[in-house]
Amino acid sequence: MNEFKKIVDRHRHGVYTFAFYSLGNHEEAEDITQEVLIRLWQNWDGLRRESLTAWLNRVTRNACIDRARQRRAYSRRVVANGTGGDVYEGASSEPSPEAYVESNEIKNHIRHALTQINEPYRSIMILREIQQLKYEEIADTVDLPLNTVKSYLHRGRRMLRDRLKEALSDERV
Amino acid sequence: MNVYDDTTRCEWARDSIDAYLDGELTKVDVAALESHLEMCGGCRNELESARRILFELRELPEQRCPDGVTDHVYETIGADTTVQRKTRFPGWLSFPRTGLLRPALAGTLILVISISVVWIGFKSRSSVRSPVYTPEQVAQAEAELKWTMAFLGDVGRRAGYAVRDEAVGTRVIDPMRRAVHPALENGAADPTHNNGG
Repeated sequence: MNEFKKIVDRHRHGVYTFAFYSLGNHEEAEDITQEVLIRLWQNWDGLRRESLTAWLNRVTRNACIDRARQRRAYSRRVVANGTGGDVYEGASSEPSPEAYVESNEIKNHIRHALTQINEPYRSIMILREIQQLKYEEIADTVDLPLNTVKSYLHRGRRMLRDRLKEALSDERV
Repeated sequence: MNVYDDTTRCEWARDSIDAYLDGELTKVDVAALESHLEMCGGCRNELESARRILFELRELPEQRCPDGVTDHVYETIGADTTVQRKTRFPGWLSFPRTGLLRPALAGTLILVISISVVWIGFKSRSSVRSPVYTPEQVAQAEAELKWTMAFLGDVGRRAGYAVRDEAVGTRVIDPMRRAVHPALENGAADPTHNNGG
């Protein structure tokens, strides 16, 4: 049980982060995290420790896909988180309040747009750009060849850009 | 790169922007893209948008999982009546897997495969119409059959020995030996051994 708790402490934020950006709200991210951790416990004896991360990523992703399928009306609510020092690269080291607000607004648009992108593009973008996994780990998670993962990542980013175009044009990006 | 008009060139440029930002374009393509960007304001804007969105995307913070979530998980799995851990094997397989199952299964499997091979051989031979065998062929077939039966007998014996060693050796003889030895050390007479006096 102690080892299980250590593993849970190490991975719970990763599971939660993926679920949050995949589904777009905290309530469902909490549900998914609980579900995944309970499944981890149920399968604890048969799991090889070296493949634990890949297993967790796969199970979390599948749980999110199932959840998204289950709900007919996709939640359009964007959760304003407001954490982190969100500063655009081109800004000075101490951003103006306007730049800070603008950056947070863009992040909100991105969060919302992410939930609208189809699988597997969404998962690949979250795993690569937000969770900073290696291409090999992503290929393991989504069960696709490495080169396909790279090309899907670029395609996904273009989809995201297209989705954001209208919103970003209002914000002079 | 084969580009013949502006639309195709812009389409190619926009498709290449993400690979460009990830440093995955060849030198030739980088040169072609940068040369196009110098002339095309639309694609330049697209590149700037892509750069900024990527920056913001990578800056999205990791979300902290509330402690209440894990507390609930520990509560749930603490009540083992509601959440059962899965074992690798179903219940009916879990007992014998440590001892007899593997040699017994291996022996049975070899036996079944051997019998199947012999049976299929006989069937295929019997399906040939009007077989006429010379006495030499009949003698050879008999010899082959004897060898096969001898082989099967040997396999059976080996499987039997494996089972005997596992079942009788480790589960009966060894415990008895361990039970008898302390008695000998305490000075009791060994009924199975004649000391000559």
